[in-house]
Amino acid sequence: MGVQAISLRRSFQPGFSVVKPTSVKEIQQTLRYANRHRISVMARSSSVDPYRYPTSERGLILIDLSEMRTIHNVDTRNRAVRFEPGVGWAQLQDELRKHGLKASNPLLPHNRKSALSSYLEKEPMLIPKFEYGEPILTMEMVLPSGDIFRTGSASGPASVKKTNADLVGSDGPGTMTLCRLVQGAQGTLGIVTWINVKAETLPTTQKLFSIPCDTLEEVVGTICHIQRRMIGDECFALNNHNLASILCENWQDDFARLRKELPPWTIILCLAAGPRLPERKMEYQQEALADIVKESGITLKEDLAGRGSQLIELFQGPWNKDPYWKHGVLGDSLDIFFVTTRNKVSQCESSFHKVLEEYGHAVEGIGEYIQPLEYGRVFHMEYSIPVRPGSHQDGELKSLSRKAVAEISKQGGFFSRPQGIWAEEVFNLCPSNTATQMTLKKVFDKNNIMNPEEGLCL
Amino acid sequence: MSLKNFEWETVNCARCSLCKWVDPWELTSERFAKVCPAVARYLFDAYSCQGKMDVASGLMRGELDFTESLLDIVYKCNLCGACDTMCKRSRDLEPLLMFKALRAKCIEDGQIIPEHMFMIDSLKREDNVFGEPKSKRGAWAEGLELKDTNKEKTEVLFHVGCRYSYDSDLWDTLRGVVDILQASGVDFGIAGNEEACCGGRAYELGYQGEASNFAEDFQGRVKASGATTLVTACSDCYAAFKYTHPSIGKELSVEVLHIAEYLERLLEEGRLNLTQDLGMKVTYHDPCHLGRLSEPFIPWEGSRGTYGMHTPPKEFRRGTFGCYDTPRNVIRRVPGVELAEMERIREYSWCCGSGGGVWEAYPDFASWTAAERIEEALSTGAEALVTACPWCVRAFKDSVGESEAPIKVYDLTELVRLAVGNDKKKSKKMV
Amino acid sequence: MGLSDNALRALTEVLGEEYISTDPAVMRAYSRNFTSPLGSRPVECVALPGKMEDIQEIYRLANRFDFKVIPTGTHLFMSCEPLIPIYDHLIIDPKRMDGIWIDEENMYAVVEPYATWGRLQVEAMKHGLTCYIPSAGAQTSVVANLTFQGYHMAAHRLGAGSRSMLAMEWVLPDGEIMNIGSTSSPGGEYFWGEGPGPDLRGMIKGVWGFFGGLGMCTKAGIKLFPWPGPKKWPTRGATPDKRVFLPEDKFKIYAIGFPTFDSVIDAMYEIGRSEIASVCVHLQKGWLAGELALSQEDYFSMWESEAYQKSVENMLVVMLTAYTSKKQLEYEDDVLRSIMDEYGGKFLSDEVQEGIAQVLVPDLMIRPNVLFRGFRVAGSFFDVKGALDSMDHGAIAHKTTLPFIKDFVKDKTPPFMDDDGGCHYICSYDLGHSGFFEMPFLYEPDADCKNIKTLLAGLTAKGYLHDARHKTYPGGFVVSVGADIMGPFMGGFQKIIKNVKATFDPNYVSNPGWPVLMWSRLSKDGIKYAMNSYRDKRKNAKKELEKDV
Repeated sequence: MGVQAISLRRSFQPGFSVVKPTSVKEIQQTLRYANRHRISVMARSSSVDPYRYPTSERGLILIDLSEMRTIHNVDTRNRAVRFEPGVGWAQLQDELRKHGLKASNPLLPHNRKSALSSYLEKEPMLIPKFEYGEPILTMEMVLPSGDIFRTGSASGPASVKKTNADLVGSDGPGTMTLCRLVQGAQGTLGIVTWINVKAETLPTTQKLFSIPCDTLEEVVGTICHIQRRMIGDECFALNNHNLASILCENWQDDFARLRKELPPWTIILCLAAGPRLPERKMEYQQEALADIVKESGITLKEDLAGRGSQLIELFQGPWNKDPYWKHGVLGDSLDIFFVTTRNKVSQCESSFHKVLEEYGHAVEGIGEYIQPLEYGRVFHMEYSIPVRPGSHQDGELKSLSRKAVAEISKQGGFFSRPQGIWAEEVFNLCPSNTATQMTLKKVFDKNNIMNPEEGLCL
Repeated sequence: MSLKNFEWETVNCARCSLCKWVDPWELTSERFAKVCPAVARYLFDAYSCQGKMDVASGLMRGELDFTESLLDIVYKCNLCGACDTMCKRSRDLEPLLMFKALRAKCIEDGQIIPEHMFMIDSLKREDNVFGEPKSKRGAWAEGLELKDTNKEKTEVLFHVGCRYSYDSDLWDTLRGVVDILQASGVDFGIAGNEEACCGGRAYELGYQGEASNFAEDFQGRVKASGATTLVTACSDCYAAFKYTHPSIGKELSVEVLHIAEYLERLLEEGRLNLTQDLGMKVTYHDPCHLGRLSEPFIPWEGSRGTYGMHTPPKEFRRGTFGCYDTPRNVIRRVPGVELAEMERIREYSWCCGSGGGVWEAYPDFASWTAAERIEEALSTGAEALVTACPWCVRAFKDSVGESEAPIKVYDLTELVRLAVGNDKKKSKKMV
Repeated sequence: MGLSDNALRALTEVLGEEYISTDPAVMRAYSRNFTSPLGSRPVECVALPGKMEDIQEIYRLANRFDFKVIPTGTHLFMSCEPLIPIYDHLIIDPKRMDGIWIDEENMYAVVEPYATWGRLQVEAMKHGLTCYIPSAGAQTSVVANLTFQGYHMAAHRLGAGSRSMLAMEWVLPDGEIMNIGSTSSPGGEYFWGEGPGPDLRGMIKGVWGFFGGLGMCTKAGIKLFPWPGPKKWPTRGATPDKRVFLPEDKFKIYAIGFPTFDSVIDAMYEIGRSEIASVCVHLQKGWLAGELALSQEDYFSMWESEAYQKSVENMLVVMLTAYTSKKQLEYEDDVLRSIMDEYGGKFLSDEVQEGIAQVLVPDLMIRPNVLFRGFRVAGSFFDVKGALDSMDHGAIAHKTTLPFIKDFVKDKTPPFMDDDGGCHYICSYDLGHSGFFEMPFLYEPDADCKNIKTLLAGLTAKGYLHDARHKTYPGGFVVSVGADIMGPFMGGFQKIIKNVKATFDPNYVSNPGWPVLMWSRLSKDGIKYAMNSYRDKRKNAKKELEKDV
């Protein structure tokens, strides 16, 4: 265990300590200790996490899981991968590639972002075609009491080593699915020590297309067309600000030039095929795409902003440059995201733009990202407002974000993943759900040691 | 058969609830998905087929006593057979037979509904279920000078039935049938005042002994008439002749036809011509007793063995082979008539509400059931609802009268009569 | 015993006289389910609420007057019966709450508790959409089915049934409302099931649901999926021989035989890896006979024929669906054939193909008529195993469970039937990432149901030991006493569930006895019952776990 944690044992002074466990046992010991002394605990697996501000009135132990970097098993038969919290996206995808697999990933996560965190936080994945939409199969966690619990078919009765189960059954055990509860709980119900996640077959052929669009309506309509035909792997849309942020060579003139030149919106679509008869699969997908082009009068390009379709690989892993693509303008970003249905997308956008204008922000200066989920049944909408580092606690930003939440909610947007400075507003809007969650938390965390304070959901 | 014979049914009913619904493979909308009027109206599962299985089981095991509520459950049921048809989609059980045995048990134990008692008394005294004088049974035929089968032999015996005989509102329809038969040169006769009830309703009410008496009496009368064919325009009577009488060993030795079947025959033989263009859109209601309940009786004697299998193997009546196509064929022959089908048709037809003693004892329930069917008829956009049973006609006419629904109600024979027009010239005479 | 007069009076005030009954004849119809033919527990009252607020009031009154509430849907399964001897219980029959609303553009529907699968699907298909119906049947309640089990055979492409649930409105045992997902926002609609924050759907359902032990769902959003087929279900024929003819330019349905059982599983994995097909299920030999038989006798005559047995050996059923285009269908067809070549698969006879395409797949996997007609064969069936894990695990479970079942039934035939695992199946889920497997066997219920029930309870208990010995996952069967027996070896999940139950249902009003036993709240009879089932089992399970098999 880390030196700081050892020192904690020798003194009962509340303060801020960091523990860097390398085993599950150490996590158990820490939590039991925290329970005995009623000290708050927060877990973190990424070494970058813009949403957490560790403070606590009764002392805080930060459990930094970034040292737990083992990929336990790549199960090529069931196409799953089991790994620890400290595994980043690059490590994960590199390992999977060796086995002809890939993990569904979100949009360009930070290279120090824990893949496990991304999954636990239910970040939307770029590939909406896997209708089941829930990549996590089973997990192991340490409950706030310090006991180990494994979910689904990993629960037993035999140990992980001896069981005949392949740890890919997500439901249960019994009549609850903790695996689901823990996702989105932001560490308030326990600490996850490994997850077993679906991995998909690595395509043998890929082709990237882009579709420039003028309006959000056009974006959503086109995406729905594509999704209902069930073609393509990665499918999402970025506004010119976001795309310029990703593609620019530098943040001075190149970013500004690109942002000006790029169309208001660009849909990025990757057709993929393999392992069997990949040419035939590409062929029918391209034909279907051609039909869509014909029906909707859109323009289809076989590159992305003139940069060639090798950019596919850019979107199939983490962001590898500094600064992070969202942070290039001012050093940080405030992200506000929610889900809504196709018919509410425009009105949610309008209401957000109104709030921006009210607070003196130019709409053109904001990054926007649309991700269809579950074959376009629902859309994830994400706005990134460039801000200066450390300004998340600004009164004005807080007020803006809370107003945005309130207004977008009225238009049919649903904030399923409350985060950071606007989380409280979301929970305030959903009193019955929040009340249940708080009651449930008491079941798991009698002494309320897990993430009890500011900036966190419960 | 006694109720005890159905113990296997009650134990093996899996409570799947298919008996409440139209076959999922035949569904056309969520609105018209229900098939059992009793549970649709009264909501508690007890009123469904599965519920009656439970009630029967409770009685057999001495865990339930006869109460008003229990009798309510037993008798608020048209015995329409829809649940029986649905159960037999996937099972080899006999729910409808069990319900009849249950009613017989009620009667055996003196559990009598006053309205039904009235019907039975009327049957005993006046040979009809309405309490009307037997001497008035033939009043509808006054002035028509029809052959009296009590005095003369005839080729075709036309059986009128209680409903047509005593419901003067429907006499025009009946006389229309006479017109059609005469126009087709059919040698037919009626029993007039000597005609008696078929006994079908008595059997449904649980008075199996009474029914048997009427069936036996009927055998004699048919024989005496010399007829080789018995034709009836009442579906209830038709089902009694095709199924109930044979099931109690009183099978008739003549060909039994519903008027729809006979009309089809006449049309095919060219003895009946339909020339008047009626120019209307109609929908057709399958009467339960012409449809699923009229499948001929299949004799079987045996027992259930391992896993409830029948020894010898039993052929089940599953409602499939009722008279469904014939009335439709006739309608399609009427010039200018477009047939628009309802959703619940053929063996999944929604009952008119009249059968099983419901019309007499629970008029509100009967009326509710009929109204539901009228709504379904209206949904087709049809101007008229056509059916082939006077009980159904009465139920629908009453419902339309009450609700002023914009739809006419016709018996099938009325359509045919209108299409015959005023030319009563006889065509080829029957040899 | 019964609900108190005051309680009944209060209920009548809320619901109206017409919608509440304590009549014994009426109660009788709610006193059993197919696992318990003659109903062993008295029902005291049935209530027919018309809206969510009625249900809230029922629960509030239950807490006030100390009676128990069992929420039901269409009342098919064992969750509708209190497991332990209790009295004073009221059944909620949601018949008046059967609304269905479809949002075509956003591909979901909102349903009330008595909305049935068949009614939902028939409307959805008019909009070019569908829901995939679990094999319990199209006549079962959508909400009750999904919050209880919801496993269906078309999950290969479109995911597990329980993942079809979106947002929910839920009445907790104290009468308070819990909104799950997007409906928790003011004016929110039912399109999204997660959040805000933790996904509370994880609280109300595991492998099986809470058995009505945590209140009742009063409205739910349900996913709909694209349906390239006809708007009207294309049935031909009449009972008992109805067939469905799906258009061949949109659907290809195949029955494929493989040389060995293991090669079936290998092929299933490869089909998943190749991302083709919408249905991929291995069915043991009894299924086709069960589906095609025109009568019970017909089933046995088919089953006993050697020709039939050979004709369906090592069978894999695959359906390809033209979601994108005709070319996509052709592509998947060719990929399937290449997989067949590689694993030794051959198309089964024309007769089998027709039976699979025209009856079995439509009846089991798209629009089921009640529980695979399993009731027809002997009267009822019992499950020894039902779990979600991998297809390989399913294969192991089949191999280890079959001798176990055969041993159980060998000297009890009848009423049990040794069908050689004929009703077992392994279904690919999520393009082969996992699989659901179930091992039912058939039996004839008898008038003296106590005898069979005791035998089956003993079998379930032996099943736990079997799982412990073979290190297989028991799936949904660890409920009630099973949770106490096996829970300690499975992370102590039973303690969590008990805590949740105790927290949200402090007065123990909502279907007590399910899904876990709250020992301190049991009556003497209840303890006696539970101890009979529990005694020594946990100790024995531990011993079995320690063995290396």
